[in-house]
Amino acid sequence: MTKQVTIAISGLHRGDNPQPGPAVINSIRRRYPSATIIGLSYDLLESGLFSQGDDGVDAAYLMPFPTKGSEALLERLDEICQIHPLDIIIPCLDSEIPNYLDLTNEFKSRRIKIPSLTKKSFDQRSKDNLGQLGKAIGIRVPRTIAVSDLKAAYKACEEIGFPLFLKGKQYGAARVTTPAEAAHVFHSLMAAWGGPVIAQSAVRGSGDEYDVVGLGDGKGGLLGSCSIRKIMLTGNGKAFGGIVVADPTLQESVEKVIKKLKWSGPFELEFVKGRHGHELIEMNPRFPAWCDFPSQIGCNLPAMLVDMLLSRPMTPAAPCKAGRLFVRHCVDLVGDISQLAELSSGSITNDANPNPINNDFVLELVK
Amino acid sequence: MSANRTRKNGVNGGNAVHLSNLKIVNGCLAFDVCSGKFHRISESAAFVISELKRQTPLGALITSYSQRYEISPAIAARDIELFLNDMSVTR
Repeated sequence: MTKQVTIAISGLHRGDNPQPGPAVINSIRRRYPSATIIGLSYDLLESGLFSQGDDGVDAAYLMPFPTKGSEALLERLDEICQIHPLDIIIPCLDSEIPNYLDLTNEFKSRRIKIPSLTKKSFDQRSKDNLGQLGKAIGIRVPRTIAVSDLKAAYKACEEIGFPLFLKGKQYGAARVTTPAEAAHVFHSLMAAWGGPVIAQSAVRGSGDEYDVVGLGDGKGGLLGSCSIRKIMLTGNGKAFGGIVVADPTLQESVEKVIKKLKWSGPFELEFVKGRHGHELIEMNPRFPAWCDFPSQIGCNLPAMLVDMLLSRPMTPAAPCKAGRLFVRHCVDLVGDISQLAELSSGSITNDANPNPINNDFVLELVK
Repeated sequence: MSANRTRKNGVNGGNAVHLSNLKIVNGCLAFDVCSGKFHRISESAAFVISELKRQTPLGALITSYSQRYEISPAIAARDIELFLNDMSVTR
């Protein structure tokens, strides 16, 4: 007997700071239209819940916030598995990853596949360790100082010099030019994400921003990647448009990082072009919100991740041709108050047939 | 091409345009595949870039440019020099 693969995906909101979930769903459905997609949501109004398109979910569940810890997460996932036994979970938000890493063995025993990232490589790429990583592999990283109180933040600002960026441990960043701005941003970031706050030197140079999405094989190799220059930015610096570049120097930097970390699974590397070349400013341990763009030009990394997790032969990613570009397009999705009512009770189903509870079924992905 | 018009990568922070990375798209857009930067360009700029990519010697380029646009070789040479300086082109 066969059943469709059931994949849970989080990060469903495509607001002005779009989350990757719907792009990951769309990419997976491009190759596997019959996959059952379960949305893991933190809010009734996450926009992806209302999509009737290929980036929509078959069913969705409200989740405990990541701050509730890994036990609460596991408890909720077990409840979900009673109705929709999950084969794969692809967490798409940075703040979720530590809880998923804590539960690696639990997932193994439940035969649920997740990207097999290690805590070591996750920590090595954290914002406060990025400088050390860059030094170890010969990649420029802007000067970075992690601070936990305002006094230390002032000192870091003085040492680095204005303008600089203050960044939250997991999310959020703001350019600051004065001590007063630094104090305001420091308090906001501490309140939102806790410490430490990371002070990072602004890169002097062209200021052009480059992002790379890729998939590591866990052995130091790169299964596929796509590099873009951001050509349109939102107010908070997110890519609203990008163009593929073919820069061997940038590619070499990416390969160095992945090799050093033996990275397994999806990642996004963010670079800024400075006076002396590219400087690595961040590495995100998940797919970026624009990952469905490369999927449309032959480099479907989310579908490759599904293959990788199921130990299936992978369709190699085609190199993305320089000059292909994307521009984001916002649309208005229609919903109904009844959907909010349904989800407020914990879950919502959009014509998804719950799978029979039997992990011995053979997984089959229908092309 | 005079030496002072040829900039090595790194002189301006690695932002020089290298001819081998430059693609002329539909005769009106210059796209640097390495940096991802693109610029609208005139027909005459497209002509100069295309000739340089074909490794046409500067003297021959000046001659063909002056003939194509019916200007004196001196004006053609100055046009090309100014253009290359603007672009920070590295051959």
